This record gives sequence, structure tokens and C-alpha cells, in this order.
Amino acid sequence: MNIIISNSSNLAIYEQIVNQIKSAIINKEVVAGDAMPSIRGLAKDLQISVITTKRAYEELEKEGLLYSVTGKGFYICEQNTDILKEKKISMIEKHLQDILNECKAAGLSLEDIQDMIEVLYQETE
Amino acid sequence: MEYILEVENVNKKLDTFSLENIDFKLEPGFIMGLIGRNGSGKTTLINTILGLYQKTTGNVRICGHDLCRDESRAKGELGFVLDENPFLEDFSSLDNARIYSSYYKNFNMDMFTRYCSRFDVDPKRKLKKLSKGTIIKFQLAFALSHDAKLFVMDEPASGLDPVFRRELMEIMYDAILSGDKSILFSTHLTEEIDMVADYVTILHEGKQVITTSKEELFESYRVVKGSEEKIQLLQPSVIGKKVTPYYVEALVKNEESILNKGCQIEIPTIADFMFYFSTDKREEFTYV
Repeated sequence: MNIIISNSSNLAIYEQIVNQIKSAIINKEVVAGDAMPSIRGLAKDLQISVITTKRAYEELEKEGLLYSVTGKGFYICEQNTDILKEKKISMIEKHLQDILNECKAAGLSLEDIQDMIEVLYQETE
Repeated sequence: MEYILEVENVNKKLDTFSLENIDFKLEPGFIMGLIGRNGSGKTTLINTILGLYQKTTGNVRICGHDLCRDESRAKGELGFVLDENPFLEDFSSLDNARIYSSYYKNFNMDMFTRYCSRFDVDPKRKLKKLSKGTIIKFQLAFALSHDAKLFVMDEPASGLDPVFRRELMEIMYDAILSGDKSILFSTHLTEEIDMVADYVTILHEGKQVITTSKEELFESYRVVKGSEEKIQLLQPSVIGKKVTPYYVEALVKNEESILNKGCQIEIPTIADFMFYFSTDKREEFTYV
């Protein structure tokens, strides 16, 4: 599992961790029962504060993705990756909606937008 | 829960300077950064916590031991790295360790020599022949060798090259890995705070401006940039602002009302907090 922290991101560091662990779960890089690194170990490895990693884990616990065992640490929960994926898709839809609004404001047609997406998609292949 | 460090309403009057009502606690397993400009009182506070200065009023407890009433036990839990070397200049690191280790019941000489070699400190050279950075490393080796619970460091990174500064960060992470030790360190460099600090205390002219977790700081405030008029719209949330010929920048409370006013919104850096919390241009301030 990769976790890459960007200091220039507009997302708080704990949110970056939360998002990347979620992706790792969706992509099945980690599965139910897997132990997460300790909060102090992860803080050291990512060179961030202990409170930040703790907060990320607590957030994931609240969302039902991790569970904690007192004195032992955090583990990945059994879960339906389809639901996670659905949530992700609805988030993307929201982003797209914002972008579409901007496109309309700039006077782009549906065709223009489709072309743009096609070009960008091929570039990321 | 037992705190590693409790600073309760501490006041200290010096000739031209005074610390006023400093009050915070630090739980086991965390790192607190003490920041402020030169002359804001960081070293005075650290010297007071270490018992090098007699406080005028207030209490300091280390692992529950009162610094005045239970001095030897309180100090036994303390490891320190000071900006001004407190050890004997005319003696080598090894001799200093032999002399001062008698104050610590858990001093481990093997561990000390291992740290010296890891940090490239020649244990046989007199301290006055060592560079400032090497003296910091020697102090660090000594502090790490007597099973201290609280490490107090005054500007530990200031005499160090960037490579050893990174190593210092690693050492700090290792020190709190077990979860039963804590670190209080002062700095006017913000990189260290951006990385390791869990909690931050900002001092300004001897007063404690704020003590909070770094997460809370980053969550509660935003830096916004925009035209004078646009910043004006955010007025109730503004804590301080900086006016340039091209734009106005302001530190604001992170509230719903700052959104969609046409300003660029960024997460502040520690340097931003230092700037806005240690100038007298602050327009208003409330504790989070």
C-alpha cells in the first residue's frame, strides 16, 4: 500500500491518508483482518505528527472501514467494496457537475466537452 | 491519566522581561513545539521547567513530581538539550558523562557510548574543542542514555546541518514510539514543527498566545488572499491581515461564511501562525 503525502495539496494531511487507505481497500491491496501500521510507526514513516495519523485512523473507524483492538492497534474491517465504490462514484459525479457548470459558463458545447475528456483520457492511459 | 508535564499558571519575572500565566499539559507519547520570535520567552520558559530558573509563582510537575517539593525525582525524569551548553567545557564528553551520570539512577554508559559513535561524537575530546552542532549531539546522547520520560530541548536544530536535522527528527519519533515518553522543544524554524509536533504553544512577549494540537490549528484557520474589498466581506472572521500593493492576505477563522466570497483560500503554514499570532497588528484574537 502506498501513501503519498503532498504538502501543496489543499486537503488536510489526515484527509489525504484517509483517501489513500480507502483506495487501497477498493483496489483490494489490503483486505479484511489485515493489521494497519501502528499510529506512531506510521507517523514516523510518513514524517508527520502522531495526532494526524491517529485522526486519520479514527476517521476511518467512524466510517466503518477500520476497527481497533485496545492495546493492539487497528485492523481492516470486513466490508462491501461495492458500497465504497458507489460512494466514490457519487463523489466523482459531484465533481463533474461542478466542472460542467463551469463549462457551460464558458460557453462550451457537449461536443467540446466530450472531445476534451477524450483527449485527456488518452493522455492518462 | 498522568501527564508527563504539567505547567500550571507559571509566572517568572526577570529584570526586563516576564513570563505571564503560562499554563499547559503534555500527555505521554506526544511532542509539543514551543514557537515564537526571538525574545518571546521560549528559553526562559524552558529554563523554568528545568528548574534552572526559580519561578516566581505557579507549579511545574514532571510525571506527577513537583519540581520544587520533589526536585530530585522530577529532575531524574528529565533529559535536556540546551542552546547554551550546561556541561563542563574543559572535560571530554566521556568525563562529563562519568561526572553527571551519578545524578541519574538509570544511566547506561554502554548506551551513551553507542549514541556517541552513532552521532560521530569523539568521546575523548574536550567539549570546548567541539563544534556547536557536536555539543548538541553530545547532549542528545547523554539525554537519551538515562531513561528520561520528558525530553526538553531548547533550539536543538539550530546548530545542526540539514542532514543531522532530519536525523534529529527520526530520533524524536523513536523517542516517543513506545508511547510513554514526551518531548517539549523550542524552535524558530518551522520545518520541525510542520513535521513532528503534535501540539504547539505559541509565545509572544512572554505571554502564551495559544496551546493547541496542530490538527486543530490547521482545521480552525485559513489564509485567504484577495482584493481589499473582498477581504472586507470576511471581516467578522478576520484575525489579522497583511496589505500589499497587489492583494490583501488575511488569517481568518475557518467558517462557512468565508466560502464563495471570491477569495483564494489556503491551509495556513506554521510560519503563517507565527506571523499573525506574534505581531501587534492583530485585529482581534479569540482562543479556539
